[in-house]
Amino acid sequence: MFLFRIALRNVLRQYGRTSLSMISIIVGVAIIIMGRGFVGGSRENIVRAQIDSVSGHVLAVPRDYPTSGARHPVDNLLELDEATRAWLDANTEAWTTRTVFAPRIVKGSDAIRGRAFGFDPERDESVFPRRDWRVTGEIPATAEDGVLISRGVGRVLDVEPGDHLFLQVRTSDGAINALDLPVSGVVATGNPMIDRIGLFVPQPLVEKLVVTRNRFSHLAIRLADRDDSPRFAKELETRFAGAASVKTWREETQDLIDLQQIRQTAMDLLALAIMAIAATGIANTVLMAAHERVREIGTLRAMGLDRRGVVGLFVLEGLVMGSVGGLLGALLGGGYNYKLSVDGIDLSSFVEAAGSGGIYDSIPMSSMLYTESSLALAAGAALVGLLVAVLSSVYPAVIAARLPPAEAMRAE
Amino acid sequence: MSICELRDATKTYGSGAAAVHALDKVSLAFEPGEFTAISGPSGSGKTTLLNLVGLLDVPTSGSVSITEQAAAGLGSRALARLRAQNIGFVFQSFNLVPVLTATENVEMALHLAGTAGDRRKLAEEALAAVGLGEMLKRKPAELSGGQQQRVAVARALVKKPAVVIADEPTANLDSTTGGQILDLMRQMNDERKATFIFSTHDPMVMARARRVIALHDGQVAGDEVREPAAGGSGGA
Ligand SMILES: Nc1ncnc2c1ncn2[C@@H]1O[C@H](COP(=O)(O)OP(=O)(O)O)[C@@H](O)[C@H]1O
Ligand SMILES: [Mg+2]
Repeated sequence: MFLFRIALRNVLRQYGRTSLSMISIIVGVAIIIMGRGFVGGSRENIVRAQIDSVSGHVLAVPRDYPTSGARHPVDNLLELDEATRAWLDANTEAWTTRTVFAPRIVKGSDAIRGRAFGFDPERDESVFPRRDWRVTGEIPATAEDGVLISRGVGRVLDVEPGDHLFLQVRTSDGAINALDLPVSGVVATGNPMIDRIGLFVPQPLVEKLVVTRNRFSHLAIRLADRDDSPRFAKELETRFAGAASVKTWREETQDLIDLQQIRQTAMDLLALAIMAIAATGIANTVLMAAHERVREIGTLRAMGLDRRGVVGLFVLEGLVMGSVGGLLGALLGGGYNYKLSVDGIDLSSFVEAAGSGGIYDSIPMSSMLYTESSLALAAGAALVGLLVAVLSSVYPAVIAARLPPAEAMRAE
Repeated sequence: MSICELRDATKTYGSGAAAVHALDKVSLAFEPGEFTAISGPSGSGKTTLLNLVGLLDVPTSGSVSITEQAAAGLGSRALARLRAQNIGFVFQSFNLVPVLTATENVEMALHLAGTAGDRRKLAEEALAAVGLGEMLKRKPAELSGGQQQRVAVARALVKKPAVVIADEPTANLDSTTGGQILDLMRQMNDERKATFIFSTHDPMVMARARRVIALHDGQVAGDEVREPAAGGSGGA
C-alpha cells in the first residue's frame, strides 16, 4: 500500500517524463482499437456489399459456372418449377433470379464490354436493397423502358438518360443479337464492382435479348438469419439435383475476407511497433527513476524492504503509467471508433477513384464504412497497453533491486 | 546480554595489491542502553563498521550477531527482516522518502517492521515526541534539515528497535542544529533507554557520548566508557 502510494506520487511528480511514455501507450492502444475497428468494419462492409449487391445469403448458379473473371456464359441456364417456387416462397425471406451476361455496349464509334445484370423488376429489390443507390432518370421495369446503366458506363460512353445505345449479345442458343435501346437512367450503387462497367436490364428485355425462355443464371436468396445459410444451401442443392452449384455468402466472400486478414495483420504490426516504442520509453523512464533514487532505494532496503519489494515499487510505477495510458487510449480510441461505428466513414470519393480501375473493381463494397466497435475490443487493447507497461518496467526494476543496501550510507 | 557483537570482523575491499582493509579484525560488543560514538578520521572505517553492525553489509571474515542471532549465512530476505524489526537508521543526509509526508515516512517504518495496531497514531506520537507534532503533513522538502533529521530519528525509534545506527547524523547540519539533534538522541536514550551507536569526527558530539570507540586504519585504537549504559536493565 505504501509502495503504491510512493509509485503513484513519483509518477505524478515526474509528470513531463512519464507523460511522454504514457502518450506512446495511449497512441498504441488507440491504434489497436481503431485498426481493428476499421478492418473489422471493412470486412463487414465487404460482406454486406457482396450480400446486398451480388450474392444474397445463398446463391445458386449453373454447375460449372466460372467462379471468377468476366466470363458470364448464358448457354447453360437454370430454371425453377412451380414446386420449387412455392418451396422458396415458404422457406426464404425473399428470393429473386438474375441473368448475368456480358454485352458489347456500343455508342457511335465507341464500344465497351459491360456486365449486365438481368433483374426481375418485382423481386430484385427484396433481395438486393437499393438504399445506397443514387439514380438519375428511372429504373426500368419493362422491355420498352430500356436499360439502367452504371455511372462508369455513362461516363465512358458519354451517355445520359434519354440517349440510346446498342447492346450486342450472344443469345442462349449461341446466335448473335443486337438491339437499339433507350437509357432509362444512370445509377451509382456505391459498389465499385458494379459502378464501372455494370448495367441493369429488366427481365422482359433480357428475354428478348438473350432469349432466356424463363431461365436464369443466378438464383439469389435472402434468409431471416444469415447464419442459416449453410443448412439452406445444402437443401437447395439437393432440390436442383446436381444442375446447380450453391454457395453461401461466406463461401462467396472467403477470398475477400482472407485479404482483410492481411490488412489486419499489417495494422497489428503497426500497433506492435508503437507498443515497442512505448515499452522502450517506459523501461527508460523506470530506469531513470531508479538511477535518480539510488539513495531512496538504499534507505528503503535499510529499513527492511526486501528485493521483491523494490521490484514491486518500480513495477508499480510501470503499472500506474500503463493503467493511465491504457485507460486514456481506450477512451480516446474507443470513443472515436464508436463514433465512426455509428456515423460511418464516407468512402464515396475513394470508391469513385477506385472505380477507375485496379483491384477494387472486383471487390464489392459500400461507400459508407461503419467501423466495428465493442467494449471487449477497447478493454482488450487497454489490457495490452497495461501489460506492455508492466512487462517493460520489470527489467529496470530488477536492476534497481540488485543495488546493495549499503549504498544508502555511501551515496551522496 | 549484548545487543550486538562483532568477532574478528574484517572487511576487505578489492583484492591482491589493491586490497583495502577497511576493517581489520575488530571485536566489539554493544550493550542495551548504550550511547556510543565511533570516532576516527575520514577513511578510518566508521561507515564500514556501522554497515556491518546494521546488517547492511557482511564481513569478509569474522562474524556479526544481533540480539544473539548470528547474521552469517542469512539470505538477503532474512537480513531485511532482521533490519526491519531490530535496527533503526539515521543517515547523514536524512534520506526521507521525498514523496511521503513526515507521518507517512514514520508509518512506513512500522509497515515494514510488520507492527500491528494503529500505525498512523504511533507515527504521530513519535513525531510529537521529537517536537514535530505540528508538521505531520509536511513533505521533506517543506522541512528544514534539522526538522528532517528529527523525522529520521522518529522513524528510527518508532518501531522500538534493539539499536539505532546513525552514521554522522550531524555532519550535514550546522553546529547548533547538530547539537540539538544529538540532545534529542541523548534524551531518547535517557528517557526510553534506546540504544544508539553513531559515528562522528566532531569532538563536541563525542563529548555527549557514554562510550567512545576510536578507530584508526580499520582497527580499534581506543574504547572508553565514560558513563554506564542508560537504565542498566535493558533496552527500550
Ligand atoms: N565500496 C568500497 N570500495 C572500496 N573501498 C572502500 C569502499 N567503501 C569504503 N572503502 C574504503 O574503506 C576505507 C574505510 O572507509 P569508510 O568505512 O567509509 O571510512 P569512514 O566512514 O571512517 O570515512 C576507506 O579507505 C575507503 O576508501
Ligand atoms: Mg563514513
